[in-house]
Parts: sequence; C-alpha cells; structure tokens
Amino acid sequence: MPPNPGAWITTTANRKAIDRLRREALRDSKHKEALVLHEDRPADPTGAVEDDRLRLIFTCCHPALAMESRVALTLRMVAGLTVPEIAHAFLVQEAAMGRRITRAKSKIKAAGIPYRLPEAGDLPARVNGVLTVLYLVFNEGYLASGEQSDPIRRDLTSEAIRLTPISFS
Amino acid sequence: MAQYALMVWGPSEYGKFGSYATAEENAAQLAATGVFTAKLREEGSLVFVNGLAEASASTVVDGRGPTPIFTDGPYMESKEYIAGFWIVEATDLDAALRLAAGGSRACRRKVEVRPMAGE
Repeated sequence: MPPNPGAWITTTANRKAIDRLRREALRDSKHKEALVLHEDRPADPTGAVEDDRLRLIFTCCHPALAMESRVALTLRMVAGLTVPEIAHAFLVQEAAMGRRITRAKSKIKAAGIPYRLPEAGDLPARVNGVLTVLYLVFNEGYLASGEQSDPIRRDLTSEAIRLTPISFS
Repeated sequence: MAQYALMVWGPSEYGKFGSYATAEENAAQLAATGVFTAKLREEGSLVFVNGLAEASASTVVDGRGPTPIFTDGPYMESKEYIAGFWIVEATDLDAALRLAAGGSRACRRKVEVRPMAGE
C-alpha cells in the first residue's frame, strides 16, 4: 500500500487520462491524414496548427531558450502564475526567478524569436519540446503547494491536458 | 528582415590543413561550405562571409589612453576561437537558425548565432 494512497490514485488517474488523450489525439490526426487525401480545399495559409494560445506556447517553448527558462516563461505567460508562485514551485528566490523570466523575454525580443507557429517541417521536433515543457508543468502542477494554492493546481494540470492533444493535431 | 552573425568556432591552432586535421576533411568542408555559401548568395541571404586566420596572428589594440598599446596574440586565451563567419539576412531567428544548421553541417563546426544590433 503506497504511503499516500489518495495522492497515488490522483497521480495515476491523471497519467492515464493524459495517455488516453494522447492516443485519441493520434487517432484524430490519422483521421485527418485520411481526409487530406480526399479534400480539395487548399491548405490553411496561417499554418499547420490553429490556436492563438499555441503560438504563445511555441514561442515560450522555443529551443533557443534554456529549458528552465521555457518552463518558467510558460508558467508565467500561458498558465498565468505569478512570479512568487513560480519561484516557490522551483524552490528559488523570487528575485532570481524574476530575472530568469525577464532575461527570457529579452532574449525573445533581441534574438527575434518569432511569435508564430513553426513551419510544418519543424513541427515534430518543436512539438516534442512543447510536450517536455507541458510534462514539467504538469509535474509542477501536481507538486506545487503553498498556503493558498490547491495541492493539485487544477488550473495547471487542466492546461497541460488541454494543450497536449492540440499539440498533436 | 534582420541581420545575424553566424560565427564558426574552431580550434586554437591551425595545421597544414587550416583548422582541420586531414587534407580529406579540409577538402570536404571546403566543397560543402562552397555549396552552402553559393546557395546563400543565390537566395539573397548573404551579406558577407570569410574565414579568419588563426588566433596567434592576432594583435590587440587598446586605443583608450593617450597612446595606443599593442599586444601580441588574441584578446583572451581560449581553447577555441572564432574561425570565420557568415553575416546573413533572415526574417527571424528561426530562419537564421535554419541557415546556421546548414552552415554548421557544411564546415563541420559549431556555429554561434547572434543578431546584429538593429538600425
């Protein structure tokens, strides 16, 4: 019997839910592939994936940013956590976390990291990167704790679950 | 459109075959780099390209005081130095990184990508 059965059940259930969503998303993409063969409609000019929030998450998860910067930036810009909350989740000082996020934003601006969806050819590698960040976000969501916060951080985990199948489509 | 410097990092000492170990390696990278640079020119992405002589050929000049001071050798001792660079025009970092990947593969070296300061 695991030491904390409630937490173990929640973790396992969440993992199974994410696995199921992933499998269903893949099935949908296979259906889409089949449709593409028969459709006459021209390709969508705005890109391979449609979701404004996905533009944001692909930008925050850009490979030109260090992994810890990607996670921090995604938590701040996509999940909307405050800097103190993120600092607490990472067990670092608030000031240090603030600097990390500021530097990441400066890098995006200075280096010209574009705010748009990746080219179709780049998508598989970039999606893997996003899933890694989402996985870490989900883990932080599960583990994050504080006087005021819900131990499971439902908003983070539901964000991770929502975005994972979209990333596959 | 923005400009990016694609800086090739190489070893501190050059031998008989430039910064490459064998004649074959040097010939292969010369050919590949030639193809790559020609493609950049064709696409209108190339602003400038050249290799650098080895670091020991450097002289550091400090002109900040009343008279300039000259020092033999590179600015900083290091295991690796910039061996050459491309300056390219690219729409954004993604485009510059794609070019850099091709350049890195061609010259068999790591390439550092830094945006040029804006105008």
